[in-house]
Amino acid sequence: MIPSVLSNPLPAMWEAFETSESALKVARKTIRQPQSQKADCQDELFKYQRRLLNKTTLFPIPANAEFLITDCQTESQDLFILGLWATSERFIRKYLQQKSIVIQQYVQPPTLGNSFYQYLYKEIEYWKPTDILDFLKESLFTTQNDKNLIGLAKQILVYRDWVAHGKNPHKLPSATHLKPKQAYDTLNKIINILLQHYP
Amino acid sequence: MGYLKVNNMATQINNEAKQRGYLEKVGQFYRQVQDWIQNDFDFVMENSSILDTIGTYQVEVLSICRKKTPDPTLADLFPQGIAVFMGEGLIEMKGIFGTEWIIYMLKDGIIIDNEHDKVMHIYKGIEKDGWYWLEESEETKPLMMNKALFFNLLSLVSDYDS
Repeated sequence: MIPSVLSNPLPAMWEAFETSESALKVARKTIRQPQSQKADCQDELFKYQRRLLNKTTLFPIPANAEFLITDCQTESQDLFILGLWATSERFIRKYLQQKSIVIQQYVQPPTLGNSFYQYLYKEIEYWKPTDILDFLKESLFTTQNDKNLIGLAKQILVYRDWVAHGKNPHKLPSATHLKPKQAYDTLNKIINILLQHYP
Repeated sequence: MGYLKVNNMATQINNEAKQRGYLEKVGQFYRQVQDWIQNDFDFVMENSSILDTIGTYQVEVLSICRKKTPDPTLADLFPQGIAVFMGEGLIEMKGIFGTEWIIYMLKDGIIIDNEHDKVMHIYKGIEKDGWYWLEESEETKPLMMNKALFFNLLSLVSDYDS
């Protein structure tokens, strides 16, 4: 089996997220009551607003429309961070699995190399993310700046776990506020460093 | 007195000191904001309470209002506590078109639970401790808050046209 060539999946995710943020901003602007001094202009603006909103859940405009959009934005930001973490984790596991192919290629006798590789490939799926981050810190992230990235990634993981378990108010993580761009910048830098040592 | 009780008291004293430190930074920022907006807007302060990693405590929400209009509130500044990624405190500016974050950042770096020392910032440009807004261009830039930036943020979150 020839493994697929790895590339950084995060920039495309960020682009999609930015677009969804802009779309929500447009929705916020569209539900505002149109205002014009002239009555006939006002009428036209209402018709235009109706055309834009028709056949969406924002028409007729619910009384709590602004609240609904804010709620949607919070959900979308949290889901983005969850997705960003999941995608980064998948990338790192695949990266390590591909790096393990040398075992299959060089361990003698080949039958041992093959079984060894198959077992390791499966095991990598179960490794704890913090353990992976720790050995990356000891190997590829040895400068002070790079080590910092691993520290920040661990903090993002704690936030991710808190969100995934329903934001328990009795078990707050050290950061309860995390901007999607901060999470993206940190994980994107980590993946780019890994790719400097690839294949 | 048991060890646990002493430990709890120490945590409480420590948390109260952190709360005071945060509220002081918010207060300093509010004084700057009042100075920046005085010619253009009015403002109203209201009490609110927040829960973060150092407990539940009182904060002041600063509402920025248009002068002499029936629909006065343009945006609100909501202090959100100290538990913000890469920072020491957060104030959210909320208006009808969105929310912007104003983060208190330290020039010496970031404190993280699982690290012994402060870790370096991944962004360049934090030359002194203070309130920053992160400009989300291709390369994120922390910009220290000033009057022009504050009015710019107002126009991002509301229908104010700077």
